[in-house]
Amino acid sequence: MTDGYPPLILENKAYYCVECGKCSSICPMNRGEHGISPRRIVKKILENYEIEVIEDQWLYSCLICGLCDEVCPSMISFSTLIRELRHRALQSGNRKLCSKSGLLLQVGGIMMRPSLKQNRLDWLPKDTKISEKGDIMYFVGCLPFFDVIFKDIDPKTIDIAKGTLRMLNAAGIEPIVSNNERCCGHDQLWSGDIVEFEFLAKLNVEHFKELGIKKLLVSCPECYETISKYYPKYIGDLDFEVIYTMEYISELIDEGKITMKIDEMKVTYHDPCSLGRHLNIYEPPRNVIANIENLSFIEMPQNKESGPCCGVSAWITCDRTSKEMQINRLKEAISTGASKMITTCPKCLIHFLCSLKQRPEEEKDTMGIDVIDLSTLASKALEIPQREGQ
Amino acid sequence: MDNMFKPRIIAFCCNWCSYAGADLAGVSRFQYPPNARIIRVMCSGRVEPRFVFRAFEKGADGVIVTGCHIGDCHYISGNKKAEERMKLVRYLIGILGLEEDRFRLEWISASEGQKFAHVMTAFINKIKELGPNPMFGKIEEGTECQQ
Ligand code: SF4
Ligand code: SF4
Ligand code: SF4
Ligand code: FES
Repeated sequence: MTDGYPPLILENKAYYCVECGKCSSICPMNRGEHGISPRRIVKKILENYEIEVIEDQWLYSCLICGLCDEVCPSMISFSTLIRELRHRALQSGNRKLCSKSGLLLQVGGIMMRPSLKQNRLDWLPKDTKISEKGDIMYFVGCLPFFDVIFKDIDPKTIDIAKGTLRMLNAAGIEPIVSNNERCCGHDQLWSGDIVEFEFLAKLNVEHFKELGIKKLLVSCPECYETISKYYPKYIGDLDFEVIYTMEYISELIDEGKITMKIDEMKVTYHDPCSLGRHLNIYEPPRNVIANIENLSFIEMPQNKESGPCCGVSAWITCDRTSKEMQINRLKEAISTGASKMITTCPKCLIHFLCSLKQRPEEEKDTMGIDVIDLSTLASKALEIPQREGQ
Repeated sequence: MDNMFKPRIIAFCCNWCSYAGADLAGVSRFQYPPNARIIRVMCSGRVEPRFVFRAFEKGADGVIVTGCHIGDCHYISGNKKAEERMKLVRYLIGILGLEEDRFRLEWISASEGQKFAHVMTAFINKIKELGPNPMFGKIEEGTECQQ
């Protein structure tokens, strides 16, 4: 029955589509001005109108949020389909519209030049300890670049790296932090540039091999997903273990190596798509939150599998609909009575803060919520026992 | 080898002041080395960080952005925006591993033909000292996001 279908369809088993339309009705972008419809795409691909699909600017509006994958009764992975289609679209000359006119993707591209020696470690705080050699490395990702590029939003994303290091140090772990790591290639992969993605992946893996590491700790959900899931898929098996920092820290807490305490406050948690629906990691961040003394945690009505996306993916999908999604999500967080919305993805953080910043003056009172990264918050909670220990 | 090195310079000049300044340098026959390719923009505020990096990616050894003096911008505050953005560029250049001196921002008015020639000569000499763009040699031009 399946003979004659192109590999794209075979890989996704898209021929199982029963045209129920669940995907299109749950798709947040379908409510937006473009009215994008995953079902229509699947149908077009099945009926051999691939050209029409890859020439459409629509293709770049999908958030890869995975909501459609979650509800599809036929288990079709629409996001995989989109990744492949974007790759073809790029080859056929269909260009995407990028945030900051593409500066963020470009920065990744520049890191592909092996002859450039980066200076990416100025952020390292004096009170943290790192090693030159060892089994464990901490992969920082693009955090040092975000704070510069989004200076107007002031997301303080580098505090995520500082916080992670402080927590690891508190448990007696001094990881390698390398000046030679490159962009993980997540945005290149999802915007269709598989060639550039593979190049970056190989550079990174070669570097890890040189260092001889056995464990790679990653704090950015997208970097984590990319390295653990897509590096093996595209460039072959890895000879080191990739670990998500919150899972690691969660274990350290259970072992009693880290204790945390902070001023009383109510918080809620936003699941990043890459961690949640893509990787099914829901509990470790919640576990860390639960172990910070004095935090009272309130779940938002839409959470875990049904949690919405922050509205932007790979810096190519930002538009009015994204803004609406962000505002709705922030309002949902406010409705729980929390004073802080915690997230674990630096990009979610940037996009939400961007929306908050754009709110008109008169709305500032009603939009009183702070968005903060879990590593940043947890490391602040860490300060007290650290001082006592000194 | 060093004598053979002919730096490739991209100069973004704002239409109202610096481009006219370059013109004046030309008609007044002020000599300056011929390494700069001028790209005219309506205002220095039009130059996005991406343009500068694109020039480097395409093989420029140095990039200079010029505009009207602060207060003289024909779009009121374009050059102030440029100043902010170019701070970002300089910082990014630093962490990415290119030398910060490969990039320069200058205010040159329409009447400053002499200054234009001076700035260009000095900049080109600086780039000659620094040598070729360190990005090059290994990989072909990027396939990055284009609009
Ligand atoms: S991944 Fe998300 S944005 Fe993309 S089609 Fe599915 S539901 Fe819509
Ligand atoms: S949810 Fe799945 S089966 Fe239903 S229309 Fe979408 S792709 Fe087809
Ligand atoms: S939400 Fe803001 S920070 Fe995010 S892509 Fe859009 S404009 Fe940029
Ligand atoms: S018009 Fe010359 S800098 Fe704006």
